[in-house]
Amino acid sequence: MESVIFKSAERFLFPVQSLMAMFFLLRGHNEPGGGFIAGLIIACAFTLKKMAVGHEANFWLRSFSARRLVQLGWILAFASGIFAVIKSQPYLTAIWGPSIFIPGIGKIKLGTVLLFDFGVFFLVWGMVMGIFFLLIED
Amino acid sequence: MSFSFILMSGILFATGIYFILRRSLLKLLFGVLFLSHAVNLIIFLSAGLHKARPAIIDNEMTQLTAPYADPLSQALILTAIVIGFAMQAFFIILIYRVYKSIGTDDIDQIRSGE
Amino acid sequence: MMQLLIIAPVILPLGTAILAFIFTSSLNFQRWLSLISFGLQLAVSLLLFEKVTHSGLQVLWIGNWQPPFGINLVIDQFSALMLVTSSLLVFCISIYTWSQGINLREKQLRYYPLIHLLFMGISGSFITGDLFNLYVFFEIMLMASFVLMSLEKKRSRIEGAIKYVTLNLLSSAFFLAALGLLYGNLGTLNIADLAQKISLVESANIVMPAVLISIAFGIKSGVFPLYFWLPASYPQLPSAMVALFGGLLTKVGVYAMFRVWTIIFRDLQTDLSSWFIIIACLTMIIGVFGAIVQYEIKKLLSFHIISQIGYMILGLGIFSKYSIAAAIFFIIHNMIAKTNLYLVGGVFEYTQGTTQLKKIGGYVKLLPFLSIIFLISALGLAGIPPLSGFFAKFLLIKEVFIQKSYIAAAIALGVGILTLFSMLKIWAEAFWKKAPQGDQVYSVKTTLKLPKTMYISMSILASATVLMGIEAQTIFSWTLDAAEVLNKPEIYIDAVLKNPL
Repeated sequence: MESVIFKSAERFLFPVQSLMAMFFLLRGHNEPGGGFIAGLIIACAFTLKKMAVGHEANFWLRSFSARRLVQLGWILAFASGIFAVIKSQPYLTAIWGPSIFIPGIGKIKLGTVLLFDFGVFFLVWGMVMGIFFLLIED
Repeated sequence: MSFSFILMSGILFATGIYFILRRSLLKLLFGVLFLSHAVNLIIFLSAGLHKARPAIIDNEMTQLTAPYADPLSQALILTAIVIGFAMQAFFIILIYRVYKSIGTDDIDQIRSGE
Repeated sequence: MMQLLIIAPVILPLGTAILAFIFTSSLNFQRWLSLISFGLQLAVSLLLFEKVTHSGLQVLWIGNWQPPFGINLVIDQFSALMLVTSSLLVFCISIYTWSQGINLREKQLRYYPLIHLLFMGISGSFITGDLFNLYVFFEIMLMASFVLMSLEKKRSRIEGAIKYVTLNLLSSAFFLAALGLLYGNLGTLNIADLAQKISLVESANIVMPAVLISIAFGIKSGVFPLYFWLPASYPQLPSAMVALFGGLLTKVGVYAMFRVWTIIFRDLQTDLSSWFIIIACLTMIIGVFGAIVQYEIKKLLSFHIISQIGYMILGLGIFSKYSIAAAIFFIIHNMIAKTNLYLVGGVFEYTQGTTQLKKIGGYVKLLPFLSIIFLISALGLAGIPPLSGFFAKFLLIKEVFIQKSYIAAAIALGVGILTLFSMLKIWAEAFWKKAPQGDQVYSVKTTLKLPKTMYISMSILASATVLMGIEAQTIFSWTLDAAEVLNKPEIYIDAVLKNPL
């Protein structure tokens, strides 16, 4: 898409969207938000980027392969359930670990739920980005 | 309030079925989309409407006080939307490919199986 | 350990699908992975079956949520039997496709992850104890089957796919609407909990979701007024895949129908049973008449799927313990025999490149062993005495007579004869008659060679048909146990809801 306004607006939107995705991903723990929403937001960010940059070779954009993201997300989500099995509880039981403090975001309690959320995040990111890229390129 | 939701769901159902019965591929797609929205509304309504009463326990409380919105039906509708989203994404691409293969929007041109 | 075993039928294909999706580059890896995974699946199913037979229903609450709020997996005799049968089938199909089988060459790499996801959906639907979860597993299964169906860009394939996808999306919408209404009325979607609470609500409120759910499952299984997508889309698939689809997917719909109508809506069932019988009879008749005029083997067999769904629904319509047991016996027999016939059809496709009966012939000389395999499965399907189909039909029709539905029994018998007729048509056209003039294969070489893997898989299934005939007594006692649970939902409810965590 050849539009100067769109291109320069996108340059500002991209970091905001990415940050927002991270915010929603970590917030989803106890409040509205979560991996799915975050994945959608970041996929939208990348789709906008793609629409702005177009078909030009953009090494940085291409290094995020939708396929790899889906694989990563799939593994993370699958693995998050395995921890419970090791502790001889039903598959996907939440196992909680210690809390850590991340400056700017606050206290976060580590657990398999967070891992699962990250899995969903990557999966949705890869999937939605893949679909959009396919439609754009076609 | 819920009556208007029911009415909306009914209208969406009717529109969806009307579109599915048309001959155009694109309208088939719209029909399926409308149907899934109509169904999502039904699930949304299934637990009743409670305005501004999320199922979250307040800080000073130890348990939920009725009336509160049923979180389970919201979980169900979220799942249904996500699945519907995947299905529709696939369906759009499939329809696009059918369109490219038969070169027209007319469903009657689909000949396989006869 | 037991907890892992119960969820293994879902986790195992999921993990395999992930692995297959990551390491897509090596075909050999994928083959071995599939074979090992399906072999493990078969072992797990057998273990579960043994466990269920000896120590009753197995229940698992995923994520340790309190009943009845979480999602649960329930394995009873019926689901264990279905699990064993379906994993046997996929195991055989994975052997069958070892050397070629699916005609996809470079696309095989995409085929393997999908086939595992498909199987995850299938076995998940068999073991879930929650209606919404059933919907989710259905969608997983459908999604994988959609992609498998439109994997090739051939025009006929995509056109077949669009009918299949549209109808299945419609059925999902109906299913979901029914779930919404059920949840609105009863506040739960757990099958055991629903069965417990259903009598508290006026039956007028339940009729609507019950009918919607039956339409949804009816579309999926191909029951009389809703069958037309099936012969339009299945024959477009390559044979190994159509074996998987025809053998398994429609039966998942039938399974769900049985589960829902026996455990949840059993009070309605007594009012509606005559409708079930009428629909079953129409399904049988339409299916078999559709099959008679066909000269394309995959289409012929697809119509037979419909006709045999009729027998299963008939068993549900009669609704006595014995009729349900006989219907379950029939489902198992039909899955095995039908899949094997499709695989034989795949041999025609492999050797001659066509499945038109008019264009092939002489196989009794070309591949004598194949003709034996075909005869066993075809006669088994038609119901000739020592084979499994005879006992399946005998038990079912006997029960129909006892319950005094004479017309239905007569129709079932007549349809059996017509089934035999169309099986003999395949035999006469493909095996017995001489190959048509100008046939390349026949004129160049007088013997054909098939990959050993094809023979192995088809022989396993053919011997399963024979064994089911010989051991009919044992298998019927198993299906009787399964019908016992379906006939007395209290057993199911108690096992699920009174199970200490």
